[in-house]
Formats: sequence, C-alpha cells, structure tokens
Amino acid sequence: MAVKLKKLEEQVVVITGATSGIGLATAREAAERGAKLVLAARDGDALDTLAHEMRQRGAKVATVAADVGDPADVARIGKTAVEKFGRVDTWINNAGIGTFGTLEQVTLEDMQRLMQTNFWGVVHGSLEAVKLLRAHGGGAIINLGSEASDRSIPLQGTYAASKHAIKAFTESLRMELEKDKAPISMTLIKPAAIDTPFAKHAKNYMQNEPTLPPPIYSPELAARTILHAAEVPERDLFVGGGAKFTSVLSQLLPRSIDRYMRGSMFDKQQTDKPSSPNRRDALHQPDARQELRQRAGLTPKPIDKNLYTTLGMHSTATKTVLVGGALLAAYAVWRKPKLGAWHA
Amino acid sequence: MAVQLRKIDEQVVVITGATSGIGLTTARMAAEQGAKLVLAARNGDALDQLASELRRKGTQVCTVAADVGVPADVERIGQAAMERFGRIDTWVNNAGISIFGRNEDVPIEDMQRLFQTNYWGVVHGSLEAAKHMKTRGGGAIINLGSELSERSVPLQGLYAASKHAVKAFTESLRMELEKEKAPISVTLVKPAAIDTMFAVHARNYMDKEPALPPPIYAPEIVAKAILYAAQQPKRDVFVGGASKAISSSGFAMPRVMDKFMNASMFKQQQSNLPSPPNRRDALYEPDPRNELRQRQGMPKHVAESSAYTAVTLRSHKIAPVLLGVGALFAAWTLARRPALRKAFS
Repeated sequence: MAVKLKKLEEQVVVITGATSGIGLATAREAAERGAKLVLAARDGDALDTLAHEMRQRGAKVATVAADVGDPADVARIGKTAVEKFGRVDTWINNAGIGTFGTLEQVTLEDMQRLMQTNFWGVVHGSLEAVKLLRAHGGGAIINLGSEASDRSIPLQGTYAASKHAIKAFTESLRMELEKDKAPISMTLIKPAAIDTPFAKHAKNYMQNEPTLPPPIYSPELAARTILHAAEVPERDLFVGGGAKFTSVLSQLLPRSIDRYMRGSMFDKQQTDKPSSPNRRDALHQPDARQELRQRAGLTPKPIDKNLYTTLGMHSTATKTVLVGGALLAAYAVWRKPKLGAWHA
Repeated sequence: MAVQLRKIDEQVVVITGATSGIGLTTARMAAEQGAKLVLAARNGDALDQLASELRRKGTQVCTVAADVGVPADVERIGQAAMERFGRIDTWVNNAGISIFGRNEDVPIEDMQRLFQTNYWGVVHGSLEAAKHMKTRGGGAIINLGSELSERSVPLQGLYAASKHAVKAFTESLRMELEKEKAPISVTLVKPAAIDTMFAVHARNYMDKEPALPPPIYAPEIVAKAILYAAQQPKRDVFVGGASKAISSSGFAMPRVMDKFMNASMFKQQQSNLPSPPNRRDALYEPDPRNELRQRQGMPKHVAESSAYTAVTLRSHKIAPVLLGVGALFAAWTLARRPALRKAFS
C-alpha cells in the first residue's frame, strides 16, 4: 500500500463511540498529540463535557451527537467534519456494543440492534469516509474488529458475527480501493479483551454480571495501536498477543478451541455477582451514568505493554532483522561445541 | 460430538431455498434416497410444481411458501414440519442471494435485504430447528456458508460479510448446544463456486453480467456433502478443493491474496455480456422465469467431482493416521541416509 499518511498533529480525525472505552482513550491520546478531532457518540451531554475538557488543553474539537446505525446521522458526522475543518484525514469506526447470553436466550430484536450498531455502523462510516477521503486527497479508515473477527465465542454469538462481518466488509472494500489505486489505507484492528466498560454497557441475559476472560489489555494500548495505523498504512493489527494466539490456534485446531471454550468461556465471562433485576445497559440507548470512563477496572490487572502488538507495528525490515538476529544467535549457541568449554 | 443421526431414508428433512440450485439439487437427491421433505421458498407455484414432481416418484413432501428473512414465516416452516411429520431430523439453511458490484456502488437498502436473507434467515432457521429438535431427541442443523465465509472478495463484499457472519453464528451455536449436551449436530458447509442460478439471481451493479471464477463445481457435490452431514456429525465441510485452498491461503498470506484477487477477481466475476438495462433478479422477489433450475449451465468448465471433498468426508479418522504414517516413513528414510547418520553419531 503506497499510501502516504500525514503526521497525527496535521490530521483531522473522526472517532465514533468517542465517549467511552477505546474511543475515549483514542480521542484523548490523539488530542494530546495535536490532532483536530470530530467526536461522535449518542450522548450529546457526554460529548460536550469531553470537548470542554479537551479545549481547555488547547485541542480543536467538533462534536456530533449521532447513532452510527443511522446512515443520515453518519452523513452529518462527515458534513460537520468538512464544515469545521475542511476535510477528514482519518476515520475511526469504533462504536460498538455487546450482549451476553446464549443465542437461544437473546431476543431477535436485541440481536438486530447489536448488528445495526456494530456492523451497519461500520458500513455507514466506511462508505462516508471513502467519499470524503477521495474528495480530499486520501487518508486512513480504521475499523474496530476483534479477536472475535477470526473466531467466535459462546455467549457472545451475535457480537462475534458482527465482528466477522466487519472483517469481510473491510477486506472487500480494501481490495476495491486498491484496484482503483485510491490513496486510502484500510486497517482492521483486532483487540483481545480490553479493560473498558464493554461488559457494563452490554445487555446481559446471564444470571451473573458479565466480565471478560484474561488476558486483558489496557484501552491505552488499543489507542496507541489505532493511532499508529493513522500515520502508517497497516492491513491488520492485533491488540494483545493473546488475540493473535487465539486466531492461529482456531485456524489450525478448531475442535480443540471448541472444547477449550466450552470448558472455560461460560465461567470466565461471568463474575460471581448476580445480575441485578433493574440492570441498565447501553444497547438501545446510552447509559448516562456510565459515560466518559476509559476503564472498568477489570481484574486481573490489564496489560499495558505487549511485545507482540509492538512488534506488529514495526516495519517488515525491522521485524526481519529482529527475528533473523534471534535465529542467528540461537544457531550460534547450538553450534558451540560444549558450553562447559567456556569455563576452561 | 457423540450425536446419533438417523439414516436418510428415516429422516424428515427441511430445506430452505428449495426451488433452485443447491437447495433444489439437495431436495431431489434426498427424495431419491427416501427422505420425507419439508420444502420452503418464496415462490409457492414453483414449490407446488416441485412437490408434484417428487410425489409422482413416491416422496412424501410438504411445502411452505416462506421468506426466511421473516421470523414468523420460519416459525410456519417449523410448525408445518411438526404437524405433518411429527419431528425434524435435519434442517438445511440454504436460502441465499448475492449482489455484484463495488461496495461504493451498492445502495444500503439492497445490502440490508441481502443480509436479512443470508444471515438473519440462517439465524431464524437455526433457532427454530434447535427448538423442535430438542423436543424429539435431536438432529442435524446444516448451514450453508461459503469459501467466502473465511476470505472476502471484491465485488461481493456484502455477500462475503453475510457468509462470515453465518460462520461465526454457527460456531457459537455449536459450542452452546454442546455445552448443554444437546443431541444436535451443527455443520457449516463451505462451497467453492457452484454452477447454480446464483449469478443469474444476483442483483448486479457492474457493467457486465456477473460470472463466477473457476474452478466451478457441480451442485450435486454440495448436495452429497449436505446429505452426508445429515447422517454423520461433521463440524465443517469444504466443498471443492478450491474452497479449502482459498481459506488456507487467505489465512496464511492475506496480502498475497489481496493482490491475487485484484489481478483476477474483477475479470473473472464478469462475463463478456453487458448487463441489460431491464435485468431482473431475485433479491427482493423470486424471479418466476428462472425457477426450478439446478444449474445455469455456466460456459466455463464445471467439475463434476471433488477429490478433496470426497476424501475429507470419508476419512476424518484416516487423514491424521495417513499423515502420521507418512511422517514416520519420512523420518525412517532420512535416518537411514549414511551422511545423516554420520552427522548424528
């Protein structure tokens, strides 16, 4: 992909789902690094609070209360970006929601709502972004997939289906743009479990409160990965080596992963606290009491630095040198006649 | 999966999209093998004609005019099966449609319509099937995915997205049913390009008529795979070696596949014929002029058999044994080479 991307401080960056979790962490990081921001979410009040916080630190921010499941709302996000800043450089389709429960338990209505936000929101956002990026010299589209883009999980079947669909759509659009030689980079980010309010915001059909299975990574790690893709064209990036591990094993040993998940994913996606009867979630409406939080404080302690993710963001040349060097060193050690000889 | 499935001649088999292509081929093959059939499609006339043909040969058939995208219609399919035959042994979620065109050129409404049939149709059907199968001792749910369940392609982005989503849903349902120890086998069938009315029925936003890229396989191979999975629990079946090849290459070498597909898939998914201005398709309504045809009769070569599929269907225990034997033999041969023996002594 011979696409040239600007440095972040020269960019106009659109972020959907900007008032929580990964979107919020990414917005704050991008603001710190000097990007101009167009932040979208359903909750206008939360957006105003966030914009105010950022403007106090000198960031240029526009906000759009929008539901990404509505194509007209998404068109307004694009319009606002062009009106305020004249263009878009990076568009991050991040807004997403979950449901916890078996496929037989979750209502069709709730499944459809999830798909409307998670998949159709990405379709609307990507197509709006393509239009704007084509008109203004190119840029980056960054779509949030998941490790569940490659491998499904029990109790989150529709979420996994939406993330699989995002992967396929992103892959198809990428090829079509490349055929056209459009100066647009398309990246699929595939995070492992991230410490955000994801489980709190999800609609829950299980007896106990939902949680995520370890390993859990920090939303700041996800934000850094996303913003890397805003400056350097990347095809796919996993956030968290655990995500890559699951993906590879699922391709090679699907039955083993079926068995493993059956044995662990029912327990590990629930806490031992019962789910309260008047529990609120953000599936159909935002939950005003749970806004503007990057993290939920999940246990075990989320991992903030991950070697696999960091390596993924280095160029092929660097990776070749590192891996090649390691192999060379291993060979040298193997060929040493006897380690005991060093003591002689 | 320690699920026990009946022989096909003792089964009640539900098939959606039964009036065309893979669904039609499977219905005829199942009828020949003695199954009782519940056939669903949107076109009631085509269903009546098909039922009449099958009954003349002694098959017991019940038909339901239904749109799999409508949950109430799918409930009617389940109800009709239970009322007529008392149980459902196999439910084949086959109904599907495509759109050819760049993602930027396809209207959102058309994309949504495709998804409603291809994904939600499978969700509705699978859940209806599971509900009834649990009351009668189990059965097999067979969902039609595609090679495009694992790797996307240009010009059919939403079709690929819907088939990816079907894969994920099927995988999750399987784990949940196995956790409950439900006696239900869940299979994902992933065909390569098949000679059916797929390209004729698809909506088209390209300048030229849609076509499928070779290698193209006969619908009978898919029907055989489906009926095999109806009697022997299988997790996944690739139909056509090309399907497995696309999946593995897509996983191992995604950038290579991107470039390969860009070099070939734009040309190979278009025929030489221009797309006529008043072209009809079956996206929103069935096209009655193009019903009850198993094959389009594609101008390219159609493979009538697939060695890959034949071997994988029969040899799920043999394959690892063969690999193991092969590996041992290779190791033994290498160990006997004089140069290597000297190096290791």
